[in-house]
Order: sequence, then C-alpha cells, then structure tokens
Amino acid sequence: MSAHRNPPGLKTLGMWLFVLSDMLTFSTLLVVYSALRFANPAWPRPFSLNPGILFATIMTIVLLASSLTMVWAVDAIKRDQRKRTVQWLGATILGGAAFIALHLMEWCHLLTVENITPASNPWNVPLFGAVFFGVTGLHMAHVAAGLVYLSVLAAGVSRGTFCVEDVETGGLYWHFVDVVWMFVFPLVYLMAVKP
Amino acid sequence: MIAVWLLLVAITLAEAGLAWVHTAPALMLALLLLLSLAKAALIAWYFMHLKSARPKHLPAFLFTLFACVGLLLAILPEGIRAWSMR
Repeated sequence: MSAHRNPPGLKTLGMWLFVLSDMLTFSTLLVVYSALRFANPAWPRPFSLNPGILFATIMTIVLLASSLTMVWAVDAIKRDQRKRTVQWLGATILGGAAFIALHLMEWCHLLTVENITPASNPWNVPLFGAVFFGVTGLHMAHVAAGLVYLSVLAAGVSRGTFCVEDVETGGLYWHFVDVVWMFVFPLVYLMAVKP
Repeated sequence: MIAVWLLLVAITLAEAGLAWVHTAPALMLALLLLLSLAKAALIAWYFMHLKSARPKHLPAFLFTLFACVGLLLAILPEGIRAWSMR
C-alpha cells in the first residue's frame, strides 16, 4: 500500500462522523421547532389533507424509493457490476431530483397561494415561516448536495476510479438525508395539519 | 430489502393516516416520534448496514444518541411548560 492511500474503513468512519455531527444539527433544529410549536397555542396549522399532507406523503415515498435504489447501487458495486451501479445511482439521482421538484412546487404554493413567507404569514406568527423554511430549506440543500455527490460518484464509477467503499460512503450520506426527512415529515407537516 | 422498504412505506402511510384521525397533539406527537424512531432504526440497521458496523464505532453512535435524547429532554419540556402557563 502506498503511503498516501487511506487505510480501508477510514472513508466510512469519516462519513459516519460527518453524519453524526450533522444529526446533532438537525436534531437541535427539530427539537427547537417542536418546543416552539408546543409553547405557542396559536402556532399555524396550514397544511390541508389534500393537497398538503398527500403531497408530503408522496415526497416521503419518493425519497424512500431513492434510498432503495441506493442500496441496490451498493449491492451492484460489491458484485463489481459497474454499469449496473451507475444505472442505480442514476435512478437515485432521479428520485432526489423528483423530491426537490416536488418540494419547490410545495414552497411555491405556500408562498403564492397561502401567503406564508419566511418573515410573515396570515396568523402573525413569523417564527413559523422562519423555522419551516429554515428546516426544510436546510434539508433540501442536503438533498441538492447529495445529487452533486452522487453524480460525481457515478462518473467516477463509470471511469473505474471509485471503489466499493466510495459508493458505500455515498450511500451512507444519502440514507442519512432520508433519515432526517423521516423526522421532518411528522414533526413539521403532520403536527401542523389544519384542524 | 424490498420487505424493509415496504414496511417503511407502510409506517409512512400509518403516520399520514394519523393526520386524518383527530388525535390529541401530545398523543399524536408521542405516536409520531415512536413511528419515526422505528423508521430511522430500520434505515440505519438495514440500509446503512449498522448491523455489520465495527464495534469500535459504537462510542460515537452512543454519544450522538445521548446528545440527541438529552436535547429532547432538556428543551421540549420547557416548551410544554410555557404552553401550560398560558
């Protein structure tokens, strides 16, 4: 082994440490969001069952589907099926892109139809917009960064420059983004359903 | 893995179903947190291969879990207390 090459498992450990530290960031945001929601009896509940919750449920299933294709990408690279790996990575990227497109449509609806902005809303609880767009925006930024990461990964796998551990590490990141949404969906959306 | 994914989708649909039923906020929060923790555990265990993770990584996982639960226990009751004082 050459001196500059990382020992096996180091990339995975590095990604785990990143994931764990980022988990603390999101858990802080979500706990503060929940505390604010319970502390304020006039907390806005803007999401109707249809399309609000239905839309968020579809977004959740799309993100879960992209996690499954990521699992299959890791399985394929372990069997040294590079072409198949790139195909599954492509499917994962498509799932992530669909999630972002749906999310942006939802944001447009909230901004233009429901008049909810990061600074104001019809309930005069500006904290709601600030925290809602802050939490979901930070998550969307992670998904967007994941799309760039997976695209670079797919290009590297097709050229033969990336190995099994690189794809596994990308998988860890993508599943982490999925795990975060598993808490954003119930705490931010389902706890704010119109009465 | 398909079975795990179907289970995750089923839990998601059950969570969304809770929105259709008018449940008290505290009970709904407790149920949603339980279901979300189950989903996160399934993803971490099967998709992120935590079940085959090296034991030497365990302290980092435990520390983060402790910090997340600690945050929850420290901040959330304050929000509920502020709400009950109104």
